[in-house]
Amino acid sequence: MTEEPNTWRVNYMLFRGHVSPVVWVHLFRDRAQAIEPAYVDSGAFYSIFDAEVAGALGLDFRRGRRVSVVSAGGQQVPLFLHTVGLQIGIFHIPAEIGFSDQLGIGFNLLGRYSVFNVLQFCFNDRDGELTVSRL
Amino acid sequence: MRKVKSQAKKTRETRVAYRAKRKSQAGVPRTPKPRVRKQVAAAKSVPWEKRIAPTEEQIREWTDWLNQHEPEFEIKYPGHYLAIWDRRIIGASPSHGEVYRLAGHARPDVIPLITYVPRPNEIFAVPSNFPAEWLKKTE
Repeated sequence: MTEEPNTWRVNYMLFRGHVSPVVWVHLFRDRAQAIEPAYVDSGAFYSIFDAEVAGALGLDFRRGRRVSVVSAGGQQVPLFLHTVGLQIGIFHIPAEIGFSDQLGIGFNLLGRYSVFNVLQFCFNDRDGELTVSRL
Repeated sequence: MRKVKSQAKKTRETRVAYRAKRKSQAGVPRTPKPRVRKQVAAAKSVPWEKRIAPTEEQIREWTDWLNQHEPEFEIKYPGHYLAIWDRRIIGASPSHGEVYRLAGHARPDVIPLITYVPRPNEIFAVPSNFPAEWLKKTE
């Protein structure tokens, strides 16, 4: 019997001339799937994806659990939480993530809630490498 | 050299016949033809289980390709979402939803990578967030 690998390493992606801890996240809901980049943000409480991603998965994002978050600028943004399947590298996890049409930053965030309690992220900014391990 | 028979008479007759026909129709009011809009071919819907997702290796290769072309894309597609499949752009739009539609039209059989190309004036800042209730407790 072979043991499942517990660690996955990936290079940072280039974003506006900066190598950044951005990973491709596969999102699953039933059989629908979307692949979007997400900035791994250990300072973010919730993972936030654009509402259009929910649409691509056949979800009405406004039907999720509504919460409000405050960003660094003090702006309150409503989020709608949904449980979807996530694949990050070799890891498949169910996670409750937020969808918003008011984030307005053009990219998605992978935050701590329901993700960082399953996966550990280790940032190596010197070599531009992100190591993900299952806890 | 063999002489080619002139078609001039025949042409003249045709013209005369055409003009006579037009003259007879002159008093008849013209009925407008109904406008028929060309139907835009709807994207074929491929069941999700039949769509091909990129492998881990392909994602790494395509990400390298994206990284290499990033400066070029920032000039060509600022503020656009791109749908990528096999190191090609199969859809580009400033609308996130639209790029899914374009990609579905171009390659309905695949699950492309969707990425965003920022505008030059967009500040590179990540708004870390926390629940609004935490804010209320500190007030």
